[in-house]
Amino acid sequence: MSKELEYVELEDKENYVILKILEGTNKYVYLANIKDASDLVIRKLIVIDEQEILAGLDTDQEFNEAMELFKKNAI
Amino acid sequence: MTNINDDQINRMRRKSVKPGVHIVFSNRKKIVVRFKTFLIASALATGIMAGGANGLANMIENVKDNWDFNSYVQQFDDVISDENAIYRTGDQLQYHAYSENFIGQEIAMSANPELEMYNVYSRIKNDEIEGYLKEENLDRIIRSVSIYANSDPENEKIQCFAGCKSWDDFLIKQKCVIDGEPSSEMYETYIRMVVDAALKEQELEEKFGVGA
Repeated sequence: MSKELEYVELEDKENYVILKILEGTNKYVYLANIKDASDLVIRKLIVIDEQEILAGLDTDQEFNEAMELFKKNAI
Repeated sequence: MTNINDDQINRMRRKSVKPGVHIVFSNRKKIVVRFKTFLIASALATGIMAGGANGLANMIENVKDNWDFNSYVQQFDDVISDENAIYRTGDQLQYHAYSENFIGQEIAMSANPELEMYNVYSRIKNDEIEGYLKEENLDRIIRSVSIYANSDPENEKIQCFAGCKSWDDFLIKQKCVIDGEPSSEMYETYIRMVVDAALKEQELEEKFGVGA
């Protein structure tokens, strides 16, 4: 049995596996460093000129909201 | 091994809150890995337990070497079918009426040795506790800690264990207690993310030979 995983290289040149993509007020992508499972990052998925972009979160408040969204969907 | 602390949550916040940073998502790559599902408990649990045991080690320097935890567990097994049984549990504990509540206390103490039952817990070597806290004992552990939680409704830390429904649940709640943030929803959420990551990390490790 096999499973397909996706990963992406971020601006720090590290590869991050995609854990989840969840949609609340915005759509968020939850990522973990392939080399370190405790190294986690949240990015916002936006569309610019028909191209999907992973954007850094704007505020600490948005980070809290993204964490809350994960919690609601994970439990 | 995965160890978790507040610094890592702060690191996650710093790496996530980056106004203006844009990465083209379509550049993502796909890989196919062999599917394994059983590693959450073994990989993550070992990390969490190791963190807890290390912290506890400093507090049980005077542990009694003659404590026989296997015997203790066997006696507990016997009590399940005879709740009124009284057993001699050790030279310093004298006689004690065993109950699921009692072993629940000890399991909870393994995560929180600062409570008043520390004197009981200190007679149990931490590696023996660690050996007992396995998924195969899940039903008994959950039942025990839940009963203990019900018996002490004013104790906020112990209440963390109430309503455990799975092995992951137990580990997450225990980790919260170890780190003294039983009510931190943020912390619990973070740990749940690491559970996810630990699983995928193991899959990737097979593919690439990398990992924590």
